[in-house]
Amino acid sequence: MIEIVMPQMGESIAEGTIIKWLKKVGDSVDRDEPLFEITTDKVDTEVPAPAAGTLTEILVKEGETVDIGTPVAVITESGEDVKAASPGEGMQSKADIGQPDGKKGDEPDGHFRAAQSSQVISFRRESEKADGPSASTTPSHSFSPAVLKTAERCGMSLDTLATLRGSGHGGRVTKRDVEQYILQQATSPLESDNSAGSPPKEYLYQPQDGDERIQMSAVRKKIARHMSWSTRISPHATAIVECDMSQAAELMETAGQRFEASVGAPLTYTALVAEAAVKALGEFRALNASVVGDEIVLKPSVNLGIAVALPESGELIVPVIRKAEERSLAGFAKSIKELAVRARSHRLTPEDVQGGTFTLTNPGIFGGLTGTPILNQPEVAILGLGAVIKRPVVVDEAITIRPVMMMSLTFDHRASDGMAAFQFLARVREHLEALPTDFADMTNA
Amino acid sequence: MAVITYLEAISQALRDEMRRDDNVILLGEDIAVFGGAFKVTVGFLDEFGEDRVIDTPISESGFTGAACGAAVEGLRPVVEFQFADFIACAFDQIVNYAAKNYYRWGIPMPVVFRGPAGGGFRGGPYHSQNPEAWFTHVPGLKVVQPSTPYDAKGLLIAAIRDNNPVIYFEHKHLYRRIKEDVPDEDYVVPIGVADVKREGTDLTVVTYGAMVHESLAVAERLSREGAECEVVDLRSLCPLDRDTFLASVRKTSRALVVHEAQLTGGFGGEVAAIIAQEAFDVLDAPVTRVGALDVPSPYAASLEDAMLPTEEKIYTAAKNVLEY
Repeated sequence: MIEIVMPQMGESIAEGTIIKWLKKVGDSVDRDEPLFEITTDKVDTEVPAPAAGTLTEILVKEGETVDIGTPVAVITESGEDVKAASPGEGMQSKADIGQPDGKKGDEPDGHFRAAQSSQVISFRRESEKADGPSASTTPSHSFSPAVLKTAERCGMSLDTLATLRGSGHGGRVTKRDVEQYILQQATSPLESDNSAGSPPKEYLYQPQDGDERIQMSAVRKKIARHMSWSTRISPHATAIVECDMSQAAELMETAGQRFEASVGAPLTYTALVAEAAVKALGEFRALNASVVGDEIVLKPSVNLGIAVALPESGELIVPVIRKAEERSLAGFAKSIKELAVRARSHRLTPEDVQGGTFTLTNPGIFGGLTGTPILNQPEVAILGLGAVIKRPVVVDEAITIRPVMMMSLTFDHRASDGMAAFQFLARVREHLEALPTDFADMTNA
Repeated sequence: MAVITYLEAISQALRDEMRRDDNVILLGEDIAVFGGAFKVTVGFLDEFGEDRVIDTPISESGFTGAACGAAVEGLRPVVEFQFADFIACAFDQIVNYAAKNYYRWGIPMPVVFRGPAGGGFRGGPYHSQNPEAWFTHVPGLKVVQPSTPYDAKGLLIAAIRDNNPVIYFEHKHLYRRIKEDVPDEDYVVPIGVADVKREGTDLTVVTYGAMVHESLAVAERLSREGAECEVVDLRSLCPLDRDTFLASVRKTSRALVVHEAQLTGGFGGEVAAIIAQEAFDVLDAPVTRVGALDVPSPYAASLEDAMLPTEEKIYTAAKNVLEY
């Protein structure tokens, strides 16, 4: 229902007089169709109807003068009549039941409806259903088995789950809600929050004229947030060793082509280091762990993350090789190739980037000696590989040329100390320096 | 291949098997001279003779017992109940004799008990029932319900070739309403294998018989709204292909079970219980069933429509499960 009021035709006008009604009660009216004529101090004009419907009441007669804003008529909108008597609300009369033609699909009312709803849709009563689905803002704490299983599989805590807004009935969190949240976390930026308080002003830069201001991309923001939090959460320290890669280099020279032909993936330094590192982690379990309160939580498997840089966006993504301790060298080579391909073609799933326990990164591809990577939370260690560079080294009291690679292990000093870090690195180096120079046969690979 | 109706498919299966194996015989009311109340066996008497196409008196218990006796003697009878409702008269012969004979003294009972079940055409209480649940509860019986001409022919051939007693309920309302391209050459739809009639990711609808078509219509409607339903046609109730519908529920996390028979004690309860027990940890919504109201089939059109599961009711139930 719409009340039509005396309009204000100018700022100073306070009242108007109805000269003529152009429609009578009961007439239907189109939107913008002229409804009545008025005269004021300044102007005579027609007033159009603001909506379509039926003119159901005239409150001010022709010739009457009323103040601006006074209701002069009522229009009842089309469809309102029908709505008030729709079958969705209230009961129809019993006379509706048992119509002679009874087309299939017409639904009689009364006690049949009540019986049918409780029988046919046995878990929900009519009154609840009438509310319809709504995404309530109150977080739900009742989670279906599917939701719990999905959250667990993707490493999502119950606390985080409890903050989700659900799209199910009554605000229930659905499996899809969880999946969408996880995908969002993996691919889109989170809002930066400075919950630890803003830094003191003297440490913040004030942009000047002439400066070029570039808005951070979504990816950049995400990296900024993770790196800030990571260094804030963990005291970082880095242990560095140098490794003689001549055995590895010779192996790749001798057997690389055959390996690739047989396995379907190249034999790379990354694959060799991955195998060595995972083996060493079997002995140094405290580097395959997380800090939870005052506990160091050791994990039963190594889920090895391999950092991949996506060329166009510059985004760092870390797909995970699950249960890496069960892989052979061929397995590593294949998985590394497959994950890199999928990462670069944006075909990774939430599962692919969740649940990592140790990360391998390769700053060496940019040519430098090595880097000091930042931990990939909630892991406690990350292994960075430098470039393999031919350098003069001392072997058996003589100078010779060897391909040398630096490896840096950044670790969370809450969970480990330098000793463990260096021992781990030494074990990795041991393995790499003792590689065979050929495979006995490809099945050993 | 030829496009034939559901009824013609059943007729073809009977004819092909009778040509292939002289031991296959038919018993039923009006099947010989009249060619069957629904004309399934028109021409059979001429082709196969009165020894193999036998008009019986109105005595379901009697001719069912006779068929069982014939099976003991090595024949492979197919018993027709003019309306599936009348199978109740032969209940004792079926559940206490046919079902248990092999268990009891090692003599197989290769009898097929078939008949038109289902309502929706104002047939009233004795011409509209869906009695499958009476028989799925009896060890020793196989129970099948095809929903398409292809399945109808293949399942009937499989049933005739099976050495166990098989209850085969065809849906009379589908007889002439659905057509399909069906192979002329010999083929079998194995008993105990369900069929995914439509693939989807958001909701699993487990169903059989005429409700397969209603469920597919609901799926089309929901697809336009952005939800994809997977429709699993059980085809066989006993033995039941759990693997197919459980795999589906593991994919979708939501299950709706639909059958035309009454809800309470209906076979849907068995399916729902299996899903709830075996797939509990992947469920994102309560397992829900749609069935007819627990009333005898009414004669009045509006009452029958109120009683039966309609596309609209299935749609509402599906929406409830999808939006839970």
